[in-house]
Amino acid sequence: MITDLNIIIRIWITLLGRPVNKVADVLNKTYGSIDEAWFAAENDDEILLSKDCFFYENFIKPEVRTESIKIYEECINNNIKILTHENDNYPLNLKYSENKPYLLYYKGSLPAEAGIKDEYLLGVVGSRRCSAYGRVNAYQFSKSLSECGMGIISGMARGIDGEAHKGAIASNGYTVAVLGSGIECIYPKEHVKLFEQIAECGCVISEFPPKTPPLKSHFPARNRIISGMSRGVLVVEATENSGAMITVNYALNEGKNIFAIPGNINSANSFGCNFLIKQGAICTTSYGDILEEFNISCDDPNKVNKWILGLTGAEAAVAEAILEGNYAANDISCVTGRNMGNVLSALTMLEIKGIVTKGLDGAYIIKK
Amino acid sequence: MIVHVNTFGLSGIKGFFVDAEINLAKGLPYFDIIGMGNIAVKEAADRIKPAIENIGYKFPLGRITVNLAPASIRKEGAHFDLAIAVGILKCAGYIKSKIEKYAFIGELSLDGVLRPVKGIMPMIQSAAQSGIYKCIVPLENADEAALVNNCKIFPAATLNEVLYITENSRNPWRICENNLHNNVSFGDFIDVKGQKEAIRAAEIAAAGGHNILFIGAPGCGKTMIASRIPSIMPKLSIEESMEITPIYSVLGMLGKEGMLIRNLPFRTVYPDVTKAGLIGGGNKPVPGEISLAHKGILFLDELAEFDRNVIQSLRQPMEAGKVLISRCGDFVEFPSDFMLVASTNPCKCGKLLEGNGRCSCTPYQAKQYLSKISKPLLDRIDIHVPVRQVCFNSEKSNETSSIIRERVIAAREKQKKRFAGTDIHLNGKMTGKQIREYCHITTECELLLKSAADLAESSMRGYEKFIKIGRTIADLDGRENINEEDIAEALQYRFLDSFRPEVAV
Repeated sequence: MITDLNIIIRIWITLLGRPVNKVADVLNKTYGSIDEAWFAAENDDEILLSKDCFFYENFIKPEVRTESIKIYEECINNNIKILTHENDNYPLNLKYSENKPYLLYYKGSLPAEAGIKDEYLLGVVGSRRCSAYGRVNAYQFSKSLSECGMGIISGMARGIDGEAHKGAIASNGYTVAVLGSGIECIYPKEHVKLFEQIAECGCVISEFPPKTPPLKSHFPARNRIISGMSRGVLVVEATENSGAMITVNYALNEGKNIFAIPGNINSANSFGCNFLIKQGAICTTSYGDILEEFNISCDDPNKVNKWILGLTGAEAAVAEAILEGNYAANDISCVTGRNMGNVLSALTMLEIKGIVTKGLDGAYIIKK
Repeated sequence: MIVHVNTFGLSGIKGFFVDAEINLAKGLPYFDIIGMGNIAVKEAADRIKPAIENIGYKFPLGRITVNLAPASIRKEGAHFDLAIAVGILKCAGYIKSKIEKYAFIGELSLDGVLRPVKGIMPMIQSAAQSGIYKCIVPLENADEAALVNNCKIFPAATLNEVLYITENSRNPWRICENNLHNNVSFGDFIDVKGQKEAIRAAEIAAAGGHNILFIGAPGCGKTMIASRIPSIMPKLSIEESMEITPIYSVLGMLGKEGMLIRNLPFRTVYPDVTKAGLIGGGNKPVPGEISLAHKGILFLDELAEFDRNVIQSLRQPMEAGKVLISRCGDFVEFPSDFMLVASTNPCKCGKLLEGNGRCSCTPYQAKQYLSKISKPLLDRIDIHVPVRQVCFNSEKSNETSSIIRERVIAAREKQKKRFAGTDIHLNGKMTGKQIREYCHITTECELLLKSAADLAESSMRGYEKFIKIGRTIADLDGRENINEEDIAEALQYRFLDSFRPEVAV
């Protein structure tokens, strides 16, 4: 039975020093259990802990203990749940990963609570600065995969991450956002709404106390959790030095599947993916490739083009042109041979029918 | 003895009648010019005396007082020289014949040669209005002066020749026919590769007189398209030309040939323009670029780089179609009825719309860039359209400008009929009330607009603009009613409404 005090003690442990797991080990060895350590520190009696220990100063400070109580109260007040590694709901993949998080803060429902099996979780990662090609794919793959029951894990950053979450939300799927900041400190700001949506239909997780700002050093740690939770990682679009490649490294160390979507060999954005494929990652050209690898069956793989039914001739032609990779009105007009007025009004109608959406750079992408 | 000589002054781009009164009285030699003249007018005395002596006449001795009436209006420029000199010669008895039927305009050099002056055309126009039909002007200004109908122009090269003309009759100057028909050709839209969206938007803008903004990377063809818009606009009528030419005349921009402005004005303005340079002004108020673009196109290149104050000053003239400049209780009015065409980069590096992560701006930079454009000005621009780089093998357009122009003219005819009896003649100028009066839309269209507003998750800020553009699209198609397709197309021409550059990076 884990009580409030137990949790406060565990928060305290995470504040003492890093790596947290090592802190816990030392305390366990010295005091027999971490609870004993807390009481020893509180009562100020004989300090068994050696003075050379790397977290000795934090250990004896009373402020650290008050801080942990404050964090706990804050979580209760803001409806933030706390998950310790001893909990049954702790994601299995993560449990067996190296350097597993000692404690997680989260909002929403964990995969176990939502009934998503751990082997159905896929990390989708990629550049923050992505091309329309990458954006479409992140959205499409996530959408199709979550329709087949998979959960999409990503980092809620700009670019690929955000699109991956949106894709999953669009099909009412399950998605997990792992943050590099505290849960009360949403970053980037423009994703506040996305944050709410994810917390509602999935889960937002952070290793850091709620008010922690997004520091640069947090993100590799965040990537470790993304990789740790998933069964495999899909790299949608990545440059050579992208943070996505850090996630891939973690995943490789843990022996997970790496999927990569090939791209234009001349585009810097595709360098990472093409490089991974060369190194032996699974070349992924449709979401079916991933399902096949995981042995997951999906009822109707051909349902992608169903929406074309029920459109007018012009609308269908325009939609098909967009599917073929023409993102600007000029190109659509050239490919379909229709005049501009026609194409533009068809685009508006498609947009209103919810079939296409204007990408952020004004280019069109298919939503369904 | 007192002599009256007719001459004209300039206020803004309008001429006004000036009665130069010259009085020669007995007394010690003395020469003064009064009547609110500026330094150029005061110095006339020192030019006139040598000029008269150098053509072989004796300068009369005595008290000479020149009054330029009406004395309460400021007068500027050296073109009063001729009138004053003629008056003095008349006083001295060197001119026998009557000179009341003539107007005299011109600057004198010390040896009695006549120099050309600026703004001759509005002065002659004013002469014709005040009933003086014979004008003596410097030879270089003859062609320009002759543009005014029903006025006989007698050009002279020297002061001596002026005396000759007043004494003997001579045939008036005949304008060279070519001067009325000059036409420089603009580029043609057939030269533009791809860019159909932008060309279509330009066609709609030209047809309805909508202001338009092109957004795109450097070198993607924004300026190329903008500079071709005159080639699809209706040609200027003679009346319009007569309205525009005086503006160029007062700035001395007509050149020696003095040709009538027959080309649609296309004025390119760059961000380094000053407020006075743009809307007009100066110590002696002169027209700015917006007046030079009257009846034509004002092209603001790199709109986001303009100084905020300079841009703000555009608002009132755009609304009113004219600009009022006040100077010490005096004010002048310049016309400024132009169509605004602007171009801008989407972000600092310009590549935001090109995709594939080619843009090197940070999200913050991207957001800052377009937000520099003044919102009230943006509100007055009906159409914004993205322009993207075309690939090397894009097809050329198959429509020449003259084909597009025919459609534009037809659409404008329809608008003229619709707005007969009102003070506007283009869809782009409709006010909210007029939109409700002239643009009936079906319930389907209204539904469409509503769902578009829902989609954009915003209030319908541009609601009326969509209807305005839809009206023009229907006019181009020759239809009486605005249908759903028109509105759907119009919805595409408000690029910036749904564009969030900071997220696009």
